[in-house]
Amino acid sequence: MASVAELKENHAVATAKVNTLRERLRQRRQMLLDTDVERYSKAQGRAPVSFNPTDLVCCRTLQGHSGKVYSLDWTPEKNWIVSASQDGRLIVWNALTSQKTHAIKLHCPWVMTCAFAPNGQSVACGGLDSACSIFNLNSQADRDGNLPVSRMLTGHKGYVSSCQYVPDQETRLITSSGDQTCVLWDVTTGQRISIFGGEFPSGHTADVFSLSINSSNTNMFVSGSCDATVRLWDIRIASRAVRTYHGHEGDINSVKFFPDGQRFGTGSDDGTCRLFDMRTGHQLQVYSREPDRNDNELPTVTSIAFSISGRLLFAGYSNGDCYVWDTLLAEVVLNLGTLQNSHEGRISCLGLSSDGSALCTGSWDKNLKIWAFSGHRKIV
Amino acid sequence: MGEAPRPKSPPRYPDLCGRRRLQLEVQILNREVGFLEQELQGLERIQPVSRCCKDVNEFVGAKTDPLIPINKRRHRSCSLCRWIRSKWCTCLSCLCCWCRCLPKPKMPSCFSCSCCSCCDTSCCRPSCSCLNCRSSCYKGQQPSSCCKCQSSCCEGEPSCCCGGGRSSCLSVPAPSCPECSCGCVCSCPRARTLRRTSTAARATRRGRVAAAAERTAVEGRAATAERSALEGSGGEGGEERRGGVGRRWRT
Repeated sequence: MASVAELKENHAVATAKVNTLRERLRQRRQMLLDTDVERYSKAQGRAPVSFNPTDLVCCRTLQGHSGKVYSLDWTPEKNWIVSASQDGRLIVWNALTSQKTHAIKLHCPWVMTCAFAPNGQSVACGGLDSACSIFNLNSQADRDGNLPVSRMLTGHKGYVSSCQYVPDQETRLITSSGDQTCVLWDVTTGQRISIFGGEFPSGHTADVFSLSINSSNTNMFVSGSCDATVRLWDIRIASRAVRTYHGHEGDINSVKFFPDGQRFGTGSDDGTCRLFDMRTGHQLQVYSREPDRNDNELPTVTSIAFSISGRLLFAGYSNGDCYVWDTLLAEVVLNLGTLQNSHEGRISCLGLSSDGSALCTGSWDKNLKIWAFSGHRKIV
Repeated sequence: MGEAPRPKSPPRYPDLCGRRRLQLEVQILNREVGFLEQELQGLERIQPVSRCCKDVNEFVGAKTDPLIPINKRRHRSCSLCRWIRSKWCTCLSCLCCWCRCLPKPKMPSCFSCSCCSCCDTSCCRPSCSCLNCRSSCYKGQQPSSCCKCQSSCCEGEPSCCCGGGRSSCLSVPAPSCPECSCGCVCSCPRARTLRRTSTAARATRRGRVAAAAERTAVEGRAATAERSALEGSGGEGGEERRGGVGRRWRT
């Protein structure tokens, strides 16, 4: 066995080599960075998206939570929304009528995330109890009117920050956690199928805060972490991340796949949103706002969502703004935070309906709001 | 004699701060070196960013977005359709089916056309419903299976059949043609049902149907324009139309 001195020497050599290779990689990427989406689109003569203040209007306010709204999710088919709140409840809403269909009291009120199953029959949630609870919406309520937990997915060693069902698979769910891992679960048996990260060298080195599954190829998903990186995973190969994406300078709070399934967007504590190419690893665009004149600290990005065409990027910020970015020209075209009937607190979560016709925002002001297009359509 | 109890040595603590930890770290670093070398090799074959930007632009341009205001060129054939509609037709959806101004004649507008006295989706072909009578009669052909029209009835009566083909079939004079004496006999069950309703009810319904058909056609046209056109051209002399919140999201 090598002596400690030898090991230290090997360690120093390996560290130096890693740093050299990283620098070479960065330089090589810089050479390939011949443009970005903004410059390319302008060169192509792309017309900007122009919004009037009345083009996107708040058409519903979903009131019922008595605490901050932390997370929301739409059903893929029905226009139902599930929301998770600081009040320790999940509420299932009919977005068309604004009515509540279910109010689920949680055993552990410290909920952070929620998700609808693809068939809309069950919901999942997770939080500081380090478990993911599944509720079947068709099951009988108990004597107190509470819906029983149909399955507890336990095994994480840290809080569950995010969960998402694998599209079209009611029995598969992926969670991300403060224990630096993501886990693929079999919801039927409650067993862990795969663990992504953790003990493996290519996993995240800090809390994983968000994840997004590629709807075009459901074997692939990305996870965003407090180590300022995004990692791409193949659920068939848990041993290592397929790719790591660098660029952000702060915790990554939100990741979402672009509608084409070939790219994804991120939102970070560094105040920027970025667009990455999944296959090549290139950072295609940075969406950064101007620093506030009164406040030198940039508001952090809390949540992001793409419109169905990919032309718009909705980004919620910690100061209550909700910017609508033109993804091609990298310009802010609207701020939902300043519109009439907007939220009175930070927008903590965002989600688009499956047909792309409505955006739902959840806020610390305890409400959810649904936004839809109400503008003029100019037909020339 | 049994052995005297002897104190056992304390259990070994894992060597977390020494040699083993270093060994593990070196192992991890070496694996990392392998991954980075692989990635560096992969970069040799990777396309530049401009190629990805092109893909993004193409994807974004190809898809319509219900949340985005559109600036589109109006479809020429739809202008033609509008002109024809204003001149001739009282049953817009039938005409739209007939004149094929909409690129896809199997549009919902055809199915929602309640003035069509047809039994199946074949009504969306040019030869059916009220207009069928006229066109068929003109050509001296037998009408389609769903309508039986006396060939003599429509000949030389274009204004009657155009506006009142259905009315003729229902033995009610068309509003546009009060003197219509056309004796069309329509065997369609739907038409028979309609026949039982009162004239006043029919007139009211006709108004509603025409309005609905117009709405459907306008929406269909907008959707078609959205589909067909790419980015806004921003030309001059545009017509502005109030979109309103999508029907589904109206309060």
